[in-house]
Amino acid sequence: MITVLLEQTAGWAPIIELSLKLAGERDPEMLLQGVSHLARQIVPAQYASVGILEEDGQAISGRVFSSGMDAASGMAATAVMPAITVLRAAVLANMLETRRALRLRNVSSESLGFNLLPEVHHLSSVLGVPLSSSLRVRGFLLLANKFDADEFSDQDEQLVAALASQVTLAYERMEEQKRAHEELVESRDVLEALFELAPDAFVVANEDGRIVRVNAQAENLFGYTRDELVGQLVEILVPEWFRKAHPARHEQVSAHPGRRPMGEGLELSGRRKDASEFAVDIMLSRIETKRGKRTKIVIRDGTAHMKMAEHIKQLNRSLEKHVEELQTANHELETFNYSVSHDLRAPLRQIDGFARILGERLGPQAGSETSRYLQRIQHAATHMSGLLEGLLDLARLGRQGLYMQPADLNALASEVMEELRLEAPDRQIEWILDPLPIINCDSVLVKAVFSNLLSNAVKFTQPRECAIIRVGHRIENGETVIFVEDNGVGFNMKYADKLFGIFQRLHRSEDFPGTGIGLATVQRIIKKHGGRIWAEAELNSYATFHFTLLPKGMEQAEGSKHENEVLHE
Amino acid sequence: MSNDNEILLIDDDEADVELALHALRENKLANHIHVLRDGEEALDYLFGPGRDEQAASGQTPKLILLDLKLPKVDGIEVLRRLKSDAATKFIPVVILTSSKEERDMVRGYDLGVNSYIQKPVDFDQFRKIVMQVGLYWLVINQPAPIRAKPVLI
Repeated sequence: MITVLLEQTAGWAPIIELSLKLAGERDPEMLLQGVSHLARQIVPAQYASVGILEEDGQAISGRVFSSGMDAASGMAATAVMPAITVLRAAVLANMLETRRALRLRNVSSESLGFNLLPEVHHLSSVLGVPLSSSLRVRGFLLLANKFDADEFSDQDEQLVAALASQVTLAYERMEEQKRAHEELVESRDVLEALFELAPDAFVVANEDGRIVRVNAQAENLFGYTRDELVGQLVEILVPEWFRKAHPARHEQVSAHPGRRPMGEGLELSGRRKDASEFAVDIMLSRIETKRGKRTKIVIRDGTAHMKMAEHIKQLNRSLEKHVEELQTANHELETFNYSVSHDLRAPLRQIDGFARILGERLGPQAGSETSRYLQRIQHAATHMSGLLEGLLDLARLGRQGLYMQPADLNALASEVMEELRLEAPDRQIEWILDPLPIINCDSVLVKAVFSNLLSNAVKFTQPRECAIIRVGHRIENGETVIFVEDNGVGFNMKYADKLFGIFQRLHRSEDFPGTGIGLATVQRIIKKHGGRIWAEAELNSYATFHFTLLPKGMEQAEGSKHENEVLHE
Repeated sequence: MSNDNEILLIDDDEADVELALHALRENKLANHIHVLRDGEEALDYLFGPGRDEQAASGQTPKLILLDLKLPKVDGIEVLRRLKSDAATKFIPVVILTSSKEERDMVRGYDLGVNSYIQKPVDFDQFRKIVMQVGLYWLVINQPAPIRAKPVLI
């Protein structure tokens, strides 16, 4: 179509010229100014205006570039009106809306919607075309006061419209380039910042192994300034003892491009400006650029890493040593327990056995004193046997796990009461067993607790004509507290802290025999269950032992809350 | 028939042996008590040369009282040998020892011991127990029938 038009008129030649010129233009403002001059050459007229508009729905506004020939002086005048607003009602607004060319005669500049140039008010003829792309109207191209004619012709309109479409294309391409350039600049700025502010040191080297770029952390880590590094060989950052080997490594990396993971060679060292050395992790990667191959070296200070690794190793070693020691100790303890339970009991049995046989042999011949001595020997052996048994039980507790299951504390306590009742048939004891809950525990061990506490109660109420022994429980701050109470000889509360210590006794053995292991065992069982035990007493009045079987708050968590509420009649 | 009720007592402790013999004799439970003082001696006696002659002449013990802590070869090993040999596996073996360590009891029963008894320190109780054990295994209990020995060709 263009060729046809070219044949029709020589006026097309400037358009072709313009197109080529516009293609090279980079500045949109220069483009628009150029267009306004060119338009007046293509279609000779006194004034020309190019406007680029932005619509915001209410008004049409934008920048307009006008040029003209002053009628009086014949001098060219140019005006740039950076911000105009075209009224909706104006002729120009109508053209932009309809996207159709406009030809007028004898109008005021105001009726167009804006002033072409200062001091220009009357226009004898006007030709306007929209600058529109397929998407939207971008602006307008307007000529006024055609030379040598009263009005603009159809051909003028065609020429100007063709120019307008070229301008639109050029302008949009320019805008696109500008946007792309801005994006490029922005992303380059981001990358620059990433490079510069990275927590690792970045060094970029060229093919000769010379440093091209470094970042702030590289300066910081090695103690050189940027200027001191750029242009130097990378080896400046490598300890002397390693330099010989280093270029080879560099080659190796170059021969096998790709990323090398960090931490692959913790034996690597870096060298600071002050010649000190430090452990580094290094990652190398190859970059192909237009200016040649580059090696990107990422260096991470490995000192902290090394220290941490060494520290962890040390901790592990000491832990292993402790575990070993503990195992040895455990093993020794087990051997000890085994020997004790076998070897220490045999002599006691023999002492008892032969003392008894001796007594029998002597028969009535033995004087009362001899009989008493023999009895003492036997008692001593029995007592020591009890001590051994208690100690072994206590030791066994430490090694054994708990076999937890819901246990009826009432049943456990009443079994123990029954056993004790049978053991002391001639004692007058009032046994009181309040309802007790069902609790998740090791029933064998908890029965041992009742057995210890209740036999203590029987023992220490001996002087009472009528002993009262009571077992019950209460809920205190959400915890189930079980108690065993007696009206026996009690103890002075100032010794309460000694109560649960092994071999601690608060009474003379002639008065109340015992091994001093029972309450220690009780406490250990309860602690194993995560519970607590404490006592209150008054000398010659009463003693009460309170205990819990689970740590505070655990009873609900164990799901045994409901079970706790199941009481027995 | 002098060896009819032979008891084998395997125990290294001289005093313990004396006490056990005292208790066994006063209860008149056994005609003959053979004492072996360590595990090796016990194995020689039970499995050494001449064992077949013993067996042939009816000298197989009717009850073995076995201590666990024995020099050279321990009681558990003796028990293992006894219970894994067709000729001796039916002889009742009662472990009579000082400890009631769980691992000893488990190993004993695991190997098929007939009874496990902890020697009480109190001699009167010990006597009673020895009497009960002897009475039960030698008098009340019906032993396994003696089978023909393949050695007599």
